[in-house]
Amino acid sequence: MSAADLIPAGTTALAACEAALAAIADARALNAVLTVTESRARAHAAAVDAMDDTDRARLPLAGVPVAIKDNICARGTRTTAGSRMLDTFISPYDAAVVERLDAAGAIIVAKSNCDEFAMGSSNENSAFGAVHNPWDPTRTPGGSSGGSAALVAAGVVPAALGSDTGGSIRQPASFCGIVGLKPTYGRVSRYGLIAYGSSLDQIGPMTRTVRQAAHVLAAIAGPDPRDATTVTAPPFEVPGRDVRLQGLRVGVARALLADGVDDDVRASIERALATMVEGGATLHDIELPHAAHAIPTYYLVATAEASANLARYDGVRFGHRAPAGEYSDLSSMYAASRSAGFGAEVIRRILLGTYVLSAGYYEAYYRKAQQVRTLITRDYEHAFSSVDVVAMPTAPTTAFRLGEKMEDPLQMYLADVFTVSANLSGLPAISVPCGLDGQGLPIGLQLTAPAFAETLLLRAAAGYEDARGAFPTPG
Amino acid sequence: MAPMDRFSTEEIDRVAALAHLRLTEDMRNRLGADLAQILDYVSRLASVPTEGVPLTAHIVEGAGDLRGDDPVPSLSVHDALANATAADETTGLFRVPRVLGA
Repeated sequence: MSAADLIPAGTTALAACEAALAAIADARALNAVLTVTESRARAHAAAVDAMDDTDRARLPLAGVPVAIKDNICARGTRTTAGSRMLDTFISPYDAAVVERLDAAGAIIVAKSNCDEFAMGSSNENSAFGAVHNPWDPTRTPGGSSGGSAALVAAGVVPAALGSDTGGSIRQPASFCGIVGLKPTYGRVSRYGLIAYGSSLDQIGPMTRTVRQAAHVLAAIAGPDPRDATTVTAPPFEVPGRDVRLQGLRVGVARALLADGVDDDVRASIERALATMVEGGATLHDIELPHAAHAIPTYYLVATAEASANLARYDGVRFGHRAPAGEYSDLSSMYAASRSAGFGAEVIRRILLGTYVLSAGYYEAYYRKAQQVRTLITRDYEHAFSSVDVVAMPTAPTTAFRLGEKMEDPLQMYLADVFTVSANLSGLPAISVPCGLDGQGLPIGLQLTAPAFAETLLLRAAAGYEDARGAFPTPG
Repeated sequence: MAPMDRFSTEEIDRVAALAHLRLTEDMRNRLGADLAQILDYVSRLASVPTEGVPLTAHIVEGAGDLRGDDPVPSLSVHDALANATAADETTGLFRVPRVLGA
C-alpha cells in the first residue's frame, strides 16, 4: 500500500478515482451519497497523475479517493447539509479542509448524506432519505455523518470526512465498524463547514484503521487565519509500526457502565480493556461525577448555538425562498421560507435554542449549562492528572433499526451519552472497532485524551488496534 | 402531564415568532409536547451546585488571535449573488419584498 496505506501501491490517481466512482454507483442502495463530484474528481486525479514522481511523492494522500460530508463546502459543487433549505445551493468557495485535501493530492469523489444540518444520531433527519448501514440495511448507520461512515465501511472509499458536534463522527463510526476521530477543538479549521454548534463543531477523519485516520488528520490539521479558534497546536505524530501499550494508564469510569449500556457492549468493552492490559497498559478507576449531566448540558448549548447559526437562512442571500404569494412582506417571507426549508428536527432544535436564550429563561438554562460545562471539563482535567487516556463505549448500543427512535426525540438524544462530553470540553476522542454483538453488529471503543494530545491518543488507539488484530468487514 | 403546563400554545407561538418560524397546527401540537418533555429532562441541571463556577467562555487556550486587518481577495459580487433567488447583478443587490412605503 502507498499514499498513507490508503490505496494500493502503484495505483494511479485516475484509476483509484474511477474505481471509487464505480463503487459509488454499485453502492447506490445505501443512499450514502448526495452528489457525485466526478468531473472535479477526474480533473484533479489527472492533475495528480501529470506530476513528476518527485512532486507526487511529496503529496501525502496522492490519489486517495475521499468522500466529504455534505455540510462541507467545495467550490462549484452542490452542498446541501442534508437540508431542503440548501437543495440547490452551489458552494462559491472551498472549505479549508477541501483546500488541504486537494493540496495533499486526495481526490474528493462524493458529498455524503447526513442528518439535516448535522442534527441527528441516525441519519434519518436527512431531507434526502436515510442512509442504510452496510452491516444490516434495515439499521441506521448512526449520525449525523452516516453517509461518510457507510461509504468507508462498505469499502467504497478508503477515507471520508465527517463533522462532530456531539458525536457525529464517532457514533456512526461505532455503528459501522470503522475508526472515527474527533480532533481537539481548534486543531482543524471550520472555515467552510456549515455551522451547527460553533463552540462544539470539529471536522475529522473516518477510515478503516487508526493510522489511516492519523494520516488524513495530518493533511487537514493546522491553523487557519479564517477560523480564529484554530491554534498553532503542537504537531502530532502518526503512530509508527512499533507502538506499545506498555505503561499506558487507562482511566475507566465504572459508574458510567452500570446502567443503560447493552450487555454485549459492556462485555466487548471489558474484553478490549483486558486486551490493553495484556499489552502492558494499566487500568485505573476514575470518577467523572458530572458526566450524567452531559446530555442536558449539550442539548442546551448546542441548540442555543444552532438557533443563532441557522438565523442566516432567511431566503435572501441563499437557500430556499418561499414562492411569491406565500408571503406579504419581508417578515412573513422569512417565516414562510424557513418553515418550508427546515425539517422537523431542525425546527425542534431551533425552537429549543430560541427558548433557552429568550428573556427570562437564559439564566436558568443556557447560563446554567455553560457552568455545568465547566464542571464537565474540570472532571476530565482532574482525571488526566492520573491517567493518560479515558476509555468507555462510544455508544450504549449497537446500530438500532431505522425508524426505531424517530418518534421519541429524547430517546434519540440519549444515544449521545458517551460522546457529547468530548465536544463540551473540546477534547480529542476516537472510536475504534472492538467487537461484534450477538447479532453481528459492530461495537466501538472510545478513547479520550487531553487537549492537543493527539499523538498520545493515536498511539493508544493504534496500540489497541494492533493487539486486537484484523476487524471484519460487512457482508 | 405537568410539564405540558409550562409549554402552552401561547408559549410555542411566542418562541416560533422569535425564530421566524410558522408552524402548522399539527407541528405546533407535536413540538409543544416534545419541547415540554425535553425541557423537563434538561431541567435536572437545576440540581447541580454551580455557585461561583465560571461559564465556559473559551474552549481552547490561546485561540482567538485575530488576523491582520489587511484587504485580501474575497467573493466576487457575481459569486456572492449566485445562490440568491432574487438578485440584481448590475446593482449588486439582493431583492426582497418592499420594506419602506409598503
